[in-house]
Amino acid sequence: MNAIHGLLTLANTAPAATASADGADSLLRTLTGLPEQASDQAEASDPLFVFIIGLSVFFFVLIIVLMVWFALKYRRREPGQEAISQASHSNLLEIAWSLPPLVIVMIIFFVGMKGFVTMANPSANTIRVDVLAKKWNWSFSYPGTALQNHPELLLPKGVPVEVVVRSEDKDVIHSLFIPAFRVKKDAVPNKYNELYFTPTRSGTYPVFCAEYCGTSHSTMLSRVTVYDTKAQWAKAVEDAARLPFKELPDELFAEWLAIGNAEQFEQFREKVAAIDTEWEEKAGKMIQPSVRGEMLATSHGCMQCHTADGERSTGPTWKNLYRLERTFTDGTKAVADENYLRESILQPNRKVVATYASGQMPQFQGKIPEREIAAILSYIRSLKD
Amino acid sequence: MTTTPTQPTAPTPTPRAPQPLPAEENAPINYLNETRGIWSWMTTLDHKRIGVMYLVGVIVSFFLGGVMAILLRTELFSAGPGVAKLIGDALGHDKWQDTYNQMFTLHGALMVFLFIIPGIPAAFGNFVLPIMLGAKDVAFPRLNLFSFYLWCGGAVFFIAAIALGGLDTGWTFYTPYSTDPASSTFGGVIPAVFGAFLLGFSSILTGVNFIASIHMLRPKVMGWFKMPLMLWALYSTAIIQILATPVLGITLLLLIAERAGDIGVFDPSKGGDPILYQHFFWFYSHPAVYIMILPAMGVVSEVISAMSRKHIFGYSFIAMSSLAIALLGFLVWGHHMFTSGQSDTLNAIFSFITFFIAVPSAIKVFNWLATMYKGAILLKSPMFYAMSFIWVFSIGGLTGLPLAAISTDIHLHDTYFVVAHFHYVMVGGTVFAFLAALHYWWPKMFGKHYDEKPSLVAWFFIFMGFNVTFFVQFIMGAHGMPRRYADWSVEAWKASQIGKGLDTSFIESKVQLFEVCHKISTIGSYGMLIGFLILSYVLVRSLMAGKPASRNPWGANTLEWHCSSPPPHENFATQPQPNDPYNYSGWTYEPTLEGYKACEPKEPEH
Repeated sequence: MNAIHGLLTLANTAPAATASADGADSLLRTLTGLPEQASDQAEASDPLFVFIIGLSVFFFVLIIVLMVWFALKYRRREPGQEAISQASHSNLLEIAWSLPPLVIVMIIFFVGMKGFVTMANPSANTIRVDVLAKKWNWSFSYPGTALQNHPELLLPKGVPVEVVVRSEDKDVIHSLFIPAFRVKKDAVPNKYNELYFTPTRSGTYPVFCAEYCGTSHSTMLSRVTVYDTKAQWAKAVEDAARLPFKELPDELFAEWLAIGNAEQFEQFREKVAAIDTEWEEKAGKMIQPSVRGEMLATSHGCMQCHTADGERSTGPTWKNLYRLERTFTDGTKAVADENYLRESILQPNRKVVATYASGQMPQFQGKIPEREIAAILSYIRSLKD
Repeated sequence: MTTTPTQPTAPTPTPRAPQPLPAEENAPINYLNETRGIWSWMTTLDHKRIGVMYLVGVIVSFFLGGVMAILLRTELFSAGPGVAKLIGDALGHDKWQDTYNQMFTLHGALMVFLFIIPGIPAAFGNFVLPIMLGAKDVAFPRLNLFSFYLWCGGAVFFIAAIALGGLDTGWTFYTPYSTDPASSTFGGVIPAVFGAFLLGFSSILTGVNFIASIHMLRPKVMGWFKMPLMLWALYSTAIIQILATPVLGITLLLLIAERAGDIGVFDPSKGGDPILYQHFFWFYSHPAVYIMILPAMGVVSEVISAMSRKHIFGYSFIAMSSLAIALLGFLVWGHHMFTSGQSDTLNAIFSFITFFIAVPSAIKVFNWLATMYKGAILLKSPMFYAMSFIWVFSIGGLTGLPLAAISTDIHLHDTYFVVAHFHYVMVGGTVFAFLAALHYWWPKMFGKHYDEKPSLVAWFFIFMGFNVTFFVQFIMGAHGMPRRYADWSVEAWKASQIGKGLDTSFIESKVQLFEVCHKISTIGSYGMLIGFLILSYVLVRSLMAGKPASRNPWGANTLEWHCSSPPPHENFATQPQPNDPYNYSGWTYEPTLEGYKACEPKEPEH
């Protein structure tokens, strides 16, 4: 039964697509086997895919028609028949069939690289989502909101998104794959991989794990819901954040949403602890990573040498540090992204920023769990003007 | 050649043979019947016997890998648990998905390490390379036998891996999955990796042997550009084998050390880098793709020219394109890692270099077509397989374009599109060329003809089955079906983290599309199975009761056709004087031989 339905789907997609607004473009996409198109990345890469497939069909037909034609026309009709010609080289022909392919593939390369560059570079005012993969599920956290470790991806239409993918410590490699967006990024343990795109179409689309990860690889699935407006998205995020706090009175929940630093969190915790210790526990679990990071930074002693307000101290300030270009004592440069900051926590003397002394900070390699590093990185990211 | 005035080679002179064959046309004593008994084979230094032993070995491996393939396709005939569950229950696995994962790992590892890589170079290369050079054997016959035993050792370790708890890492052994003590198949990884290590050494030593043979045993009159193209292909392959395979060896040893000694080269929780493993692995395994395809291209160059009875077109371009592919092949490994998070600059560079490989590949295809033009094309099994090679290699090569372009690859990476692409290139390319080689050299290797008609029926099933199996995988891959998935059913979505009360309508049409594509694919694989069964019957029958073959049934002019079928132990009594390997004017058709004989009054060519 399913098979028959499937055949019908296969047969019906093409007309259905023509009827839709994008017309011929969409038809081409369907004929070449691409799914629904829901991001700027899909809009950028699909035309190239359609072009390559068209080109491939042309060359394939050319080769096969010639081959079959020659095979039939020049077939040996009787045993012992000799070839009509023994022509064995022509430099002109060699050039004729080498140069055009070279030119064509160079064009494909440039277009492909251009499409990739938009995906590899952040635009301004992005919404950030932190993705943590482990065997065998995804969790999506939304910095700056109260929604943490959600099993689904929620995004607004038309707003640039920055997705940072990572796999849990001691886990294996996974890969976040959203066919409708034409995006994919490997989730590597303890490495922060970035992905940028803008959803362009509302709806619900499947999310897969694309890197083989063991027993339940094929059920490491989720979905992404794209909302028409940013307001609808914010509402959905808030509703999802409300779920673990169903019985919390509305005014207390509003206070929970507004927590922006450790001090506000402590006040909130005291308030709910007075009502029910269960909520206190929950709040401790669902706390924003940046707030937890602030508390951890204090308890690990980071703030003795680093400041959060831009003042120079024994170590560089954390204010506006994230994605700032740093110059080191040996003259090399690097952008202070997550991977650099993590390295600087674990092995601070590898890359010392110019004008600062080496050997001031203790190594944290083996002394701090990855989860805590991630929280401290969230805190550093939150220290922006 | 006995009948050319320049070079008498066979032990008996050859006047016209009026009646069928052996006595005059072929020597009664040949490499097959010269000595008898299994011991004489196990200790043989004869490159032809070693080639035949490799042939048997790779065919057995292909059979085992093929059984896995059919089981996989049967499991994938419909979503949800199927034959993998039956096998898993019998083996006592907790989850049928684990059984599936072990099945695809074994399929890939057997096919890649035991069949495709040694397939053409070790089996056919060993058999024809010394004869094409007019030599008695390879440069280092003992090393050659040692390589074969290393290959056997590697195969034994693979089997040991299955016995010691199986293997579910995929043939790529990606870390940290392969070093994860929590994995269900912890016991199998070290034996399997050690097996791959031994196979690597077998491959390196064969490469050393071939390079030495081509340099040292080439007759003086055979300049570099007078060599048959098969030798150029084997030479290019050997370069890759000796330069790239040691990196695989080092990587696999590091992996064993990591797993056994708990050191942190690749393990991120110990400060290692799992992406480093991928760099090391693909530094070998991408060039290995060309170890698989270059000898295949060599075979196709020989077969198309001989079967068209026409001089190969663009000889030096085909020869140089083999070298170009071998060298460029070292510089493109990073295109397997566009989504791994390696730097954007690296992605751009690897994409750029990858595209250059399109040019030598195109040069070869067009030169083969030009060779067929105005030829006298013999439409028999070897030619059908060679033309099938052009068909599948064209599709495989062209679908490489969207995988080489970064923006389109991001979507297609690790989907069935990639599965279809590399099956078209590796299976399509290698298997069809392997079969072309098998049919082309069969009369030479065993001195027997096979039945042409059933052989063509086998070709039809294999060719059609192959295309039905894999073409449809492009479609489902482009639609987003990830590879290495045991399941794609709605039930799989319900078993996922978002499954509780999930409204599955957003996925249903996709699930149905995947279901149809998988069904078509499985049906195609059964077609291939039928083809291979017919083929086995045809070849076994030929061995048992085939008509004796003359020394040169195709009228080809490379030196292996100058000695009798099968060749005697020493190939030639005196060293033959080779001329242009693609000049067919020295051979005329002789109906009583069902083959060609050398023209009597022929002047020496040089």
